[in-house]
Amino acid sequence: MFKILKKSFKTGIVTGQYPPAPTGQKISVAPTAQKKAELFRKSLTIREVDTGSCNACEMEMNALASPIYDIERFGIHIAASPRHADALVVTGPVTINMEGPLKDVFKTTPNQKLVIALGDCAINCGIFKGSYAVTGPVDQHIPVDVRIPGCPPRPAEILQALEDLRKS
Amino acid sequence: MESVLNPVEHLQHIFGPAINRVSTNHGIPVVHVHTNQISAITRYLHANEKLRGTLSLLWAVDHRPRDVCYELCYLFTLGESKDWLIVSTDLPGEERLFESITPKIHAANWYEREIRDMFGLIAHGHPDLRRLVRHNHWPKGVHPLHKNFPWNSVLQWRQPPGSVDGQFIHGEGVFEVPVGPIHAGIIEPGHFRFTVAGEPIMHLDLQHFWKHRGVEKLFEQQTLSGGVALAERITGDTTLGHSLAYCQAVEMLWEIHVPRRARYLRSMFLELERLHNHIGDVGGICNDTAYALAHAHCSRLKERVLQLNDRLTGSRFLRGVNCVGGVGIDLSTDQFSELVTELEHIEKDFTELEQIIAVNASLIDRFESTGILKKQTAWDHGVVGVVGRASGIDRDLRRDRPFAAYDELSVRVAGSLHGDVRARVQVRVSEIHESIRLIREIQRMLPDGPLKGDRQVVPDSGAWALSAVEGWRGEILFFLMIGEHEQIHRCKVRDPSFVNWPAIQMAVIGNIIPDFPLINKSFSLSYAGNDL
Ligand code: SF4
Repeated sequence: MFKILKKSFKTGIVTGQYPPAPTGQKISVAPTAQKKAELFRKSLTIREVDTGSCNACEMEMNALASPIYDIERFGIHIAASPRHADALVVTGPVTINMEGPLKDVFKTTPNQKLVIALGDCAINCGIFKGSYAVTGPVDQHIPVDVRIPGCPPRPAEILQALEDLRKS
Repeated sequence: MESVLNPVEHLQHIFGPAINRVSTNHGIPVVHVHTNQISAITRYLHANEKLRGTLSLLWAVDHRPRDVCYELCYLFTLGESKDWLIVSTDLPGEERLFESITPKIHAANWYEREIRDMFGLIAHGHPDLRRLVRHNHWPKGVHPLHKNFPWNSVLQWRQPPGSVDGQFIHGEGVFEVPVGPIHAGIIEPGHFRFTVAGEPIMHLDLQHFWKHRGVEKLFEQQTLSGGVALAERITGDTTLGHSLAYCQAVEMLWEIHVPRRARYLRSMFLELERLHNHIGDVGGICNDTAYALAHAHCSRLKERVLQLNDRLTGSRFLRGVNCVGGVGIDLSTDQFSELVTELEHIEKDFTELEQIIAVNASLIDRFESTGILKKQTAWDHGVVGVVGRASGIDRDLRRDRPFAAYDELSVRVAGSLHGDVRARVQVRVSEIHESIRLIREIQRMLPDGPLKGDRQVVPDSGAWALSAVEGWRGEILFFLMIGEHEQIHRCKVRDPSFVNWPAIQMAVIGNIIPDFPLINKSFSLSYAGNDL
């Protein structure tokens, strides 16, 4: 117990040790989203839903929870259930097998809610476009408010996007 | 007398008339047999003391339009020598039935169900022919890997029928606990159905393939040189492993001689990928015992490796590193010293952490004897990679079938006999150190020279190659066959997750549900790579 605390003290604060996100990202925010986002200026709870990603987008979401990015310092939390969420972050193209669960999750999430499509796949199916098993990008099935492109977008870019969304 | 026979002669000696012909492809013997003998021959290969073959891959090919037949291929890795041998058989014309080998060779279970779903070929005598990839709401008669099934005819989702198609145990005090497909936490979707009586798990039924994106069919729309980007996106955490296996297969078909420098760089990047995943997993496993501080330290270290990847290659997941013929990215001497210095820091940091973790009594209590996968069970299911090595299956392609630069590097293969969570953590920890050692070795030995080789031949339609890479999870296999105009005719992808998932069903029996996340994390399998 003391040893690991000692190690933590020795390590010091690592939060913020990452290269800044490049400026001029092509994040698109639907006009209505800004207004919705206002509600969540101080605190935003996210539920992540994977509808068929290659899992690199998930890994970047997971990285946000690491001490380096420490997403909680911005008042952003990851919820274990869609019922506790203010925003859904969806990754991956929507596969035929995940279409049902995605719609269910959307229904279960209380209003007002934001839907964030994370990564090229969620926005336009990316490399999986056209496949028999892919029934469309996320906005084919549920309304999308924010689109964060990239394959995958870097954690710094995701953070920046979430910040921008709530600042404006 | 048999001792001097090679495996093919051995089979010929026993099964003479059942064998139609024998050929060799890129050094792999292929024994072509009568369909009605497939079960007997594979069983013999599997059970014979001298051969001791484990089923490494089972796949089907639709030869239409060139030939009106399906072909079934069974790849075996033979006991001591770890040599490969393929047994294959044809199903001509409208023939749809073949004899299941699952009752004798458990490793065939999911493969045969997959073949039924994707090709509509039915394994007669299979004990559990429920749908695997095609969930219940898929229309009847859809078999996407049929050549006459258009790749882009998008299926329509329908509300699934209410009933769940599961394996149930009935009795007083027996409960079903369904979990997923959407889980708490940021993980991929999968459905787990536990049957419990009191605390212990009696049975676990996995229902996966939620993320099925039709990867193998998408490959068939690609030319040989165009498939790399797709291979990188089969499972993002194994970007390099999959792209390497794919590139190697194409290089075999084009007879490209990959320059030495490129082979060394490939090995180095493969070790970097192993490193960030293993460090992340050790942290993730600690996290599942609520040891959050250890998790925080590991995710910090993992992030350092990812940032290092980014600085060296412009991609945190090493995308764009591999290309057909070699690598697309070179490292300068300065970059190499930065890499090695950074890794030295990371290793020192990790070693300190490891010493703290290793003596934590409550952690050991959770790890030890949890989720035991016995050696025999692992062998029966053809388990590979970290999970296999932790259960006493001494296999590592880097040593057994050297690829990239591993023929010139000596890999010390980690292993354990216990097969519990602790063993899997220990194997990972040893491999972390070994990866760093290998990268140092590579820095020392790295030759100068070109980064890419050129193609030598234009292969005929119908030519195929089989390639294997020991990714961080285990053996990645790619079967690649070309059709007209170098279009891919068939690409069978096998992520190690596909064989290790069924084994987890065995490892959890007798454990309690709260230990399941821990066991699951210690297996650390991919859903995307499994579902394809
Ligand atoms: S956008 Fe890229 S990284 Fe994200 S799921 Fe799709 S292929 Fe993977």
